[in-house]
Amino acid sequence: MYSVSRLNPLARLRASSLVRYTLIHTAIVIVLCGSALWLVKDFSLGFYQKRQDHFVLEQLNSLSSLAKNSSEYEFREAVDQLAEDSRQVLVVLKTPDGYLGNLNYLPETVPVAPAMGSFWILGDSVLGDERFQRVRGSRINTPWGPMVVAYNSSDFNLFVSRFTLALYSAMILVLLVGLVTGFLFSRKVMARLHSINQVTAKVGEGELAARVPVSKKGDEFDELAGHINHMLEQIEDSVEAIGSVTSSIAHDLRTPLSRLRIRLDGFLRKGGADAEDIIEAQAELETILHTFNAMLELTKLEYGQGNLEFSNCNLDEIGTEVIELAEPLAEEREQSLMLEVQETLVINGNHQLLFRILFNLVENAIKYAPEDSEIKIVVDRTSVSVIDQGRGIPDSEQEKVFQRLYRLDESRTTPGHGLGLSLVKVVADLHGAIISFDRNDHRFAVKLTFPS
Amino acid sequence: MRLLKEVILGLFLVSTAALAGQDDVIARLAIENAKIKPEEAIQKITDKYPGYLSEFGIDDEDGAMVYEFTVVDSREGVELELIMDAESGKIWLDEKDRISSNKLKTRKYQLLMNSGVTLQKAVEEAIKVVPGVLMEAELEQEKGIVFFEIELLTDKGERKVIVDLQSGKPIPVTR
Repeated sequence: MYSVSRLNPLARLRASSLVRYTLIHTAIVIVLCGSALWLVKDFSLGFYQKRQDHFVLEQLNSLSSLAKNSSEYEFREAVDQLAEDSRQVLVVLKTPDGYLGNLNYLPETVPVAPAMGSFWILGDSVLGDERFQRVRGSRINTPWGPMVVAYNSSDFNLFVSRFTLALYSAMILVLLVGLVTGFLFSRKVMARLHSINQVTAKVGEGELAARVPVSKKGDEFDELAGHINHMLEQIEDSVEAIGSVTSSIAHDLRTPLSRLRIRLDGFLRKGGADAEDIIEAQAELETILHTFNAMLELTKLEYGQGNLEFSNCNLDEIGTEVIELAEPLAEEREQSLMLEVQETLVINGNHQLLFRILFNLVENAIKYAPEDSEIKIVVDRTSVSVIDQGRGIPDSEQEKVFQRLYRLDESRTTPGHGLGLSLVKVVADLHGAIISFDRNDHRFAVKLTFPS
Repeated sequence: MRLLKEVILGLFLVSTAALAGQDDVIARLAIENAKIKPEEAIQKITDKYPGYLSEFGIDDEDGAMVYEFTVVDSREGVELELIMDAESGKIWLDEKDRISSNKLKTRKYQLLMNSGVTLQKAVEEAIKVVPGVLMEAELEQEKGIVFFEIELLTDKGERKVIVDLQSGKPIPVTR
């Protein structure tokens, strides 16, 4: 069997959801934080930069129209004026006899307007040691030579670099915190899964009594633990039931088989068997076969083999038929059988099976109720009950009587194979009916309640 | 004539605040009157010494004008500081320092050796931008930019030109 616990530690780490969940958690946190910071950056710095770009393009626009409508001298004057006006506007015009404006060179890489490009300049700054500045500008070609206008905002550049630093620091912090919290969180979850894993592994190794600890929180894990524990109880019950069936089969079939063998031995000793002997032996075999058939039938019904025909069944009629058939048995024990219809009950079901189980219940009542007593079938709006005056089934045994081949100790001497109530249970389940017992001193009722 | 030159040189090199405004004129005069011009001096050094020129400057040595050079010789792993007499063209070694191979692997020295932009070429570029007389050139690195910072003397005074080794092009300087 494949088992994670048998892999080497590295493979285990890789297979572990702990690592995976931690990483997923961290990734999500980073993506969220990154998007948030990016939005902040775009809305603040991006906005400011757009305004600068807009300003530069406007300047170029007016210079362009000025160049068309003025002489070279006038234009040069205008460029000089613009260069002197503000330290934040960088302007350079390349003429055959040198560079004009407040930059000493026109960088060739700057794209033509309206495209904007960045380039380095060496200039004064608020901080003495930050001589190089990255600026954004654009270029136009005038009749008097190409020119570039850019916006120099060393304060803004400084702000951008600080902001970017803060942004990266924040991301690293988020990464660390995300990893740690993700790890702690996942570990907590995994620890609880681990306890469930351990228990299921134990059960896998045969320790059916193991149970998952349930905390008082009542969360999904406790729910899961509850389900698993319930499942384990069911399995334990089933295993117990199988054990009990096996021993019951051994017990119940051994007796008739041993009797048969003794008979056959007798025939040998006698040197032959007459017809009566053979009939008796056949009766023994009949009992054994009957038990087997009943078990097969039960299994078939329980696993839905064989298509059942469902139709409208009138429980009053079925009750009448049952009483007709059971009358002779009841008479043998001087018991009286009665049908009491309080209200007509018609359900969708299989007539034959419903008849069988009602007959089984009545037959049980006849067998176990005292002689000279009264047995009643009561039909009302939702249920059918069989009521007798016997001692019934003790409370402690009521759960077990539906198990196959289970028989109350005191009834082991009575003929029967211990499958009657199992059949009742299976058929009731098929019809969605609930079986309940009601027990008083001198009254015992088995009630089948059908869904309305 | 010779005496005048000596005087001019002396004044230039021990300039005082009072003479500050005259510095440029004097320096220009000194360089123009020197027997060996800065460009020629650079050519001589380049021809004579294998390696890469990283610095050029003008100084005085006992009243005589001299050119100073720094040459990086990657094969020998040394940095030479050379001095040339502007009058006689005599060259002597001032200092010789070992330069570690790790230092040679830095971006600054890699660009000096492999970008193809020599000090000589950078000066040529600079003079195209700002016509003037070469005073000083130095290899520098700032904010990841490796460049020659070149001081030129023009009619309007000293001007600075920056030549980027990566692109081989000047970087604009505000004025």
